[in-house]
Amino acid sequence: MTFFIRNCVAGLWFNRLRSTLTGIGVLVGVASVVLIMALSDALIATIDDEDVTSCQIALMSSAEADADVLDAMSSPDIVARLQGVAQRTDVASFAPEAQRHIVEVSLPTGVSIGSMVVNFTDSVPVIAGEPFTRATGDVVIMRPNPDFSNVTIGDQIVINGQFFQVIGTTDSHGMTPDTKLFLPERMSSLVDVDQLSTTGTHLLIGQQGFPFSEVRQSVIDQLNDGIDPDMKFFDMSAEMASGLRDALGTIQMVLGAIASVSLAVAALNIVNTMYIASLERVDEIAVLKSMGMTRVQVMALFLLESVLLVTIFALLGALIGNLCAALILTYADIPMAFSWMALATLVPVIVLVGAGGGFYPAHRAAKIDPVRLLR
Amino acid sequence: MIRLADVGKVYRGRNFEVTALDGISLDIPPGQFVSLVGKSGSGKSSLLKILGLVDFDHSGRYWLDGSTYHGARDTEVARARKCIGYVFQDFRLIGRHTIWKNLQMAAVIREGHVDVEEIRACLDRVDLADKALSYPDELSGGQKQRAAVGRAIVGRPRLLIADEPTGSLDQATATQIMSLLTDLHTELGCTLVLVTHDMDIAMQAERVVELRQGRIHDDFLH
Repeated sequence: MTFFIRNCVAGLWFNRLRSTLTGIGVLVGVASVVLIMALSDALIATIDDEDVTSCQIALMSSAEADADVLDAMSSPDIVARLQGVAQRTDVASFAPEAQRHIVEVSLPTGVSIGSMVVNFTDSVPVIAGEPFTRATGDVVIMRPNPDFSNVTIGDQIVINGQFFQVIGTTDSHGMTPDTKLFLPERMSSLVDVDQLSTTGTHLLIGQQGFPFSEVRQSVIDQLNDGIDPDMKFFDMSAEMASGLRDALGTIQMVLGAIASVSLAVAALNIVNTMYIASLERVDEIAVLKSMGMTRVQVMALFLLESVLLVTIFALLGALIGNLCAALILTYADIPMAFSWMALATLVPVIVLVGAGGGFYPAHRAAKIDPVRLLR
Repeated sequence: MIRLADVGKVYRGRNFEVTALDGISLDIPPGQFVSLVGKSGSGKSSLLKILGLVDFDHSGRYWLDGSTYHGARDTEVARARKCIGYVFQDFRLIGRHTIWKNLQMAAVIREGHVDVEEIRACLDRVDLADKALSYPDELSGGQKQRAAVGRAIVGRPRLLIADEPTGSLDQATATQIMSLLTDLHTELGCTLVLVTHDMDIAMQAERVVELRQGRIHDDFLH
């Protein structure tokens, strides 16, 4: 077998210019496919990564008039639902036990944390699959709030005469400090229902490692539980991400199909190259057969040669495609996320292209009759 | 042992039909050196194709070492060909390989492995040890034919077939090649069938079979 491989390499090397030109066709085809796959995979992975840490939950109403929508969103039922369902936040630092229980509740502008009456109920951790229940704990301080700019985790603070333990701190995330209150649980009775903003989109934010999808589903299920059939809470960010993912998937398919055309052209090039090789080596094949080589062995020799040619240049193409993708993604500040599964799919396709391209010439070569050697 | 029984060969075209062999019956015992002589068109090359298991489109029967390969599977024919060494008029060396690799290829196909010592011995035997790494294009006609003979004897074939081996060579080189083939026949103990139109060369064989118009005209021991 080693001898046959070396013979194939010698065959390719003997016609190195032709082999290289043919191989470049394969290289370009594979590099384009890999580049497109790597770029779209990285973009999709970026969308997925975003999903891991945040989402936006919005209310959808069947009401046609804007006024009706606003009415629906301000209804006591919706307000009650929103009261506890707010957002998780990727706070800058947390006590470990608090990381999974942070909720942000939107408050009307002008309500300051310092003036709020805080009444926590007993704390219930959020556990995936379990009902979304009223829970509370201690307080998380948003650092930009001037009243608490120096507090750290573990500090005891007083809000309106009550003691709370600081279990986390966070930056403003661009929000106005006065309008946001960070509570350690997603539900709290500290806020007067009437003071809640119900028209905004609510952010649900988790940290890396946070069981985000389960919690998100739990929150949405809780919000939609027994709701007016004309209304529905939904994960707007997931919908958007899903749409974006679908669009990227479509673009990936279209571009992949275009790139695959170049692979098909490369396969035709292989057919051409190997066919010429079989014509050039008619006498050589006849000699080999006169020495006892079987048709199957002759076919194998040619197939091996074409597969070898395709594989070598395809690997180079994959390398170049990945390098180009890495360069583009580095420039765009997007992490590289090439799918090894995609490459694993590409490998048999490449071998198939090589074998498919080499099959007809190999079949033709195998039929060469050594009778031509004797005049 | 070679046995031919009433072997006939007809070439047919759209507007012609030529009888190349007409009822050839011939026995060649193992180890015999036979020359097939005749003018162009006498049928000697057609006979050689049948003997060398490259042409099966003929009438009559042909046995090689007791087996007939008419209608046999490709693998069986290939196995039988491994026992046959061919020397062609125009050498048929593989130009992109060195002489060493030409012989190595024969070893791989015939024996399934490469015996370096055997290849070295074959090259020594044809006096081309110093040309092992040369390419065919770098050799003279005589050297090429010696390389072809070297390749033919890799694996110690039982039947050596030489088709006009001196046809492309000058007189002195032709004599060398004939001397080499004669010596190898003796050393290897193989059957040697030589096709030539040169009676002087043919007479170096133990037995001469003369063909005329597809028939055996004369068959004598020398």
